[in-house]
Amino acid sequence: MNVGGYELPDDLYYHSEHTWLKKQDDGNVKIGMNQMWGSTAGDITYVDLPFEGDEIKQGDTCGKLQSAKWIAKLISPVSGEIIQTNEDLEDDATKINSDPYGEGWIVIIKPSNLDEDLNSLMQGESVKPWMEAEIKKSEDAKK
Amino acid sequence: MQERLIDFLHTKIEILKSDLLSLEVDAIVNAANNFLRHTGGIAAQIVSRGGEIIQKESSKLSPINTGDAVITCAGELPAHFVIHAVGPRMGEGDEDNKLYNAIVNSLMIADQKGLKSIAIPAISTGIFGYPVDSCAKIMKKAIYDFLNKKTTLEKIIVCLFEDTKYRIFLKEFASQ
Repeated sequence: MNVGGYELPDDLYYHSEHTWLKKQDDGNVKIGMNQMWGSTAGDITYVDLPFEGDEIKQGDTCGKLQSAKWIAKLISPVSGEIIQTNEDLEDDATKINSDPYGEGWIVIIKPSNLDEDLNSLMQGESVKPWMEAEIKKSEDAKK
Repeated sequence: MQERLIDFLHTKIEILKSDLLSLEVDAIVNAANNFLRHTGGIAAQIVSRGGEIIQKESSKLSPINTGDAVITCAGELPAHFVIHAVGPRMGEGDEDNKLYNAIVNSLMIADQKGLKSIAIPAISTGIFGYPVDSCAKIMKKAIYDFLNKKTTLEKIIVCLFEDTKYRIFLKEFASQ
């Protein structure tokens, strides 16, 4: 799906704090930030990632993302254990901007309560009105 | 200057070359001394432009330790509050920690008051003689550490008046 020029792949789930989640075949989930978020934040200069083994709850801050002007929090869309972080981002965090759904992934989580957590995320038709509202909010803030 | 913010980016950090006293923010930070006698530097200008009420409220709260901060009204200034922070004098010892504490304590007071915006000058780099590049490093660390927890602050401005200081801070904050 494309909303306002921003790509939002249909197979992903979206959290209102702009993280996306992709279910993997092994039962784990991959997490990143959506394209609209990266475009609004500007080039990411630094990421502060969690440690592998960290236990987190849905809605918790599990990292920090810094651009030249903003410090944003990586809000976990699910509960579970961090099993991998994308170490390549330490060399080039702008992958979050240039390839948000590919090389710009941020962490992999082994979910502990996935079915319930997925119920509170957006997917399919519910993504569009939310993204339109977020784009409007961002444009209003720039006026 | 009441800028609207984009909430999902959480906290905006801005390095600004400007006159601290003219900023329309919830609070500005004053580089004060232990006795909160605002007789020199930026402190004197704050009282001169904001009014004696700031000195009167400060005197009731003094003295305070180096690294601590207190809050008063801002009198006639465009800001709503002045947070008076005491940074270290170069040579007194443990300067880095004291400066770090002065910045974090200022941010904490703003947060406790539920403020959304704050502007901080290069504390201790005037007559207190603390090196500007070290101040920029510690300012960055203090702000980033503070932002590890939830805060009401949506905008943190680091405000420099002199061009050389502005450039040093800009460089520090643009680097990893």
